[in-house]
Amino acid sequence: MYTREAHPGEHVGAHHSVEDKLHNAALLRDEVGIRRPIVVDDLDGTSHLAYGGLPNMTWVIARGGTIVYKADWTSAANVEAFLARYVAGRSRRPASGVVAPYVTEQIEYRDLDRPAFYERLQRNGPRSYTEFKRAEAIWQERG
Amino acid sequence: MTYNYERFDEYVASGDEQREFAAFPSHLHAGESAPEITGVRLEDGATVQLSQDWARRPVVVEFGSFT
Repeated sequence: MYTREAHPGEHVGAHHSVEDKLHNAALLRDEVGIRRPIVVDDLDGTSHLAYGGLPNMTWVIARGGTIVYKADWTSAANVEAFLARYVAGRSRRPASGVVAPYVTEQIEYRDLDRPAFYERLQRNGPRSYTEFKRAEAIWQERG
Repeated sequence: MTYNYERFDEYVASGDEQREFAAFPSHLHAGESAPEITGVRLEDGATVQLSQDWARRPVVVEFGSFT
């Protein structure tokens, strides 16, 4: 789902209309090369906010509409490993003959590739980079 | 809160970003019903409801933007 622009800049800015949003979503598809289907949220972010509004979440929803995976950051490897575990777990037939679901919560670590990220910010526009550097200073001050 | 903020540094300085990340762990959980996701499918401009997809099969939803 395509959301608000996390790091608006001179070239790829904040959305003022649905047309802006559709235009930037097409950039994501064409320039970044996303081949998964893209669904564009409304201008107010109704669906995005219903899920917490974070910039790069992944959720897995089982057939029937139950949430089975929630992550505040997307790791394709983590999602893939979860899906394999989930599918295998559901279809397993243990000696007892039954399986039961249980819930886990973990902390995982991701690679912070700042140079590559800064390059993407520059693509959005120089102020996107400058504003992120200011944000880093704010985070540092807060500890 | 302005959803479509113009400046990332002001969004962070306002505390909105901090509040959103802090609220996330207690917002929706595995085992709960997924809220509806409605939007415009980029490939054909159709308005879609993902509940129609997850009624039939599992759905992986990644949220994101250009950056």
